[in-house]
Amino acid sequence: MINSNSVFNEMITVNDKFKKVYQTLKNIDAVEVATTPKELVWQCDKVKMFHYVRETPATCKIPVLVSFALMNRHDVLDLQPDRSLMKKLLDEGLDIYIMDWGYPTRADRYLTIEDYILGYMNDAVDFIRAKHKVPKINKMGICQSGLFSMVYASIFPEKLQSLVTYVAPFDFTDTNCNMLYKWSKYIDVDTMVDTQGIIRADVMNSAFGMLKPSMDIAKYFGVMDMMEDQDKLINFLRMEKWKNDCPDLSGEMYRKYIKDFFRDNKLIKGTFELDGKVVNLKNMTVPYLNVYATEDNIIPNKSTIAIMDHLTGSKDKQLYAFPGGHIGVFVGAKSQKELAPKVAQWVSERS
Amino acid sequence: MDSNNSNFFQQWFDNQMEWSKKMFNNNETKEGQPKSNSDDWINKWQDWTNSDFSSWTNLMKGNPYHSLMDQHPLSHMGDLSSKMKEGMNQWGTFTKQYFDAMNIQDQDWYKQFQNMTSAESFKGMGSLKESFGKFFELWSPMIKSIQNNTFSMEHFARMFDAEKFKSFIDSSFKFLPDEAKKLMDQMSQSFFQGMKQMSEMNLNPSNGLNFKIPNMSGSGMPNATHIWDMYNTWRNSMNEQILPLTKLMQGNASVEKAKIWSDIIDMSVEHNLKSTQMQMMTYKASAQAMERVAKHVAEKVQKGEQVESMVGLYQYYLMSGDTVFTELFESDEYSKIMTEVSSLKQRIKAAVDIEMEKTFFVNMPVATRTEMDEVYKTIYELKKTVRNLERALSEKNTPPNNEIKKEEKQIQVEVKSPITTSEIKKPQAGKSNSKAPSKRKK
Repeated sequence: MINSNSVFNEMITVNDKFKKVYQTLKNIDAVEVATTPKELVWQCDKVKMFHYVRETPATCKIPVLVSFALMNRHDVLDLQPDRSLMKKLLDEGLDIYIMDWGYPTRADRYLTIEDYILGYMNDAVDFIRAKHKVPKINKMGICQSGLFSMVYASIFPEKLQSLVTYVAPFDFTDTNCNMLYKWSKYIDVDTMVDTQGIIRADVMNSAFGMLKPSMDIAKYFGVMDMMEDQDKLINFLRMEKWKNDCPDLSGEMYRKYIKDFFRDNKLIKGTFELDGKVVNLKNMTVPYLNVYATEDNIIPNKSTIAIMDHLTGSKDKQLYAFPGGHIGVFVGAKSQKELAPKVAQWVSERS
Repeated sequence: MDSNNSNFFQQWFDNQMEWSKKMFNNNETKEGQPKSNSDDWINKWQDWTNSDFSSWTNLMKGNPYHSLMDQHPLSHMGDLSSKMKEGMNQWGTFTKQYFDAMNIQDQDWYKQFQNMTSAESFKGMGSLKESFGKFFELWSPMIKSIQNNTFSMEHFARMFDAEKFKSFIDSSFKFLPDEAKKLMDQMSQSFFQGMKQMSEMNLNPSNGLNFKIPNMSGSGMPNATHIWDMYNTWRNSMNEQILPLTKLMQGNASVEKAKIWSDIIDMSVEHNLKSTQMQMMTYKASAQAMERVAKHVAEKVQKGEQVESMVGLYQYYLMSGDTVFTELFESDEYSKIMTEVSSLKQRIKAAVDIEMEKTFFVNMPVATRTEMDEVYKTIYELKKTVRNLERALSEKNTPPNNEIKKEEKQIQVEVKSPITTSEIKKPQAGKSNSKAPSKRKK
């Protein structure tokens, strides 16, 4: 029962744990993420592409190009050796390239969605096609990059063997279904972009933080109890390192992203234009696997699933419901056991 | 002066007086007060500044925004250059004090860690400790009643310390502490006022003011909307009085600058008020979350169940807070005001940055942010042109069906070096680049 003594003892315990945390954290040398070996094979401006080094030849002959959202680093796909989606897909026989969007600065404020999709993404695809002497490659896009990959596939279906998207937002019809979607109605994106040039990472992070306000404090209770388990602590720090390592966003890209997708829902309505040409989802004829997370609190399921009804050109399309959260798709244990083998098999069968 | 010229000036003067009479006679006062006698408007103005306005400012002294209105240059036109100097000195002093205060204690602890991730995590734990400590402070008066099974919602309401609660919420949401916020407000306002006064050299201070600010009824702090309405009434009245006079003056750079700084001040006041409204909404939501904790404890006590730990209560508060805060953040009202505050902040910063560029960097050999943006735009367009040409060339050389010829050699690693600023050709002496940034605007 709570009383003065018990409360006093509790405070002492908390203080002692805090001191121990200090001693333990002080002695940790380095926190490394994305340790699966890869080599730089292509670069344009600040955007790079890496090729994962395989120890054995790939069983799937058609290479895969993976691209992650621009607002976070792709390192979460390879956060730790036993929870690495990339490593698991490599083990399943895929030959993987991954795009690194870099860290935009104010000098990159004028980069548009066209530059990212028709420029960097298209050039990277062409590079792999030329290097492997293949007309088509497999494409994987995560979250925002899943949306961009869908747009790309609708413009260049002849360059893609298959498309897999993970937890990607497509339909923004219902702006009340989610806090972020609702805020997009009110954001003065023109003022943000015109005054700042780039959208700072801490602005995006604080918005994501408001989805669950206690998260940034409550997580440390768990940390205090994991001082004895170094592995657990290092894993926690790896996630923290990824969360703190967020790039800024190019202003013009962000302006069109918010206005054309979130606010006007142009892709679903069939009025989205890239470089003056309408992007028609009916032209997406590529085999398609749409992975969504059932407990996703960042991208509502209905926003991800809704695209299926609009892909009338693709004869081979499939939904995959992954039991977990938005990030769990990449780092959860189930991702290793169930999702990665399933995706690898699906891609290989169509290669 | 001959009679024609005298008549001309007399006519001009009579026209001005006639116009002034119309201006003041059209200005309705409120609450049944008699209309001003336009012939003694100077006396009226002096009476108002000596009595009515003073009583209003005294009343407003309990309000943190009083200093903003009281310091408006059109209320206190004095020695502009000394005010400017005072403002700049204050700015420097406040800046130093603020950063000294914010950098206490934490300066060397980062160096104890091998990597920044560990350091940041430790800092996060420090926030947890601080927050939990404040929660504990709030609840410690109630421990006895929980122990004695006498705790109830009434007891909670009686023992609840609003000031400690505010401090707890401020630390949770990283709101600036009140003193620091006041300091920041004073710094900003002194600076804005100083810049505006520097620009207002040509404004005639002897303007007639013949209006009555509605009396504030009751005591205590008025709500934000009321303050904003009052400020708007006052400002609009002043504008109506002054605008016809400003039309008599030739527009010049100083008048324009004064207008710009006046707009910045307006935005700053609006930002402060809306930011406070937003903060109030957060406090209310936090209070709801705390009430849930109190209800939870009261129910346990009623049922004879034990409340095991303070950490447990704090965790229950965090869980309740998630529900309450997400409801608040998702509401249209909060979404709207949050984006307005954010937009205002950015507009103020951008406007101040531009004015600083024009004022301080106009004669210095330093590239301003505006100029760099022009350079970035030029570089971007050039790169885009080059890439499009490269692609067109590549497509021309590629077979129609996009198949790669077998006899082509494997492409080596292709790394396109980013164009660095050092590669932009510097203009030769006496010449300029065709795409050189535009001349610095004064």
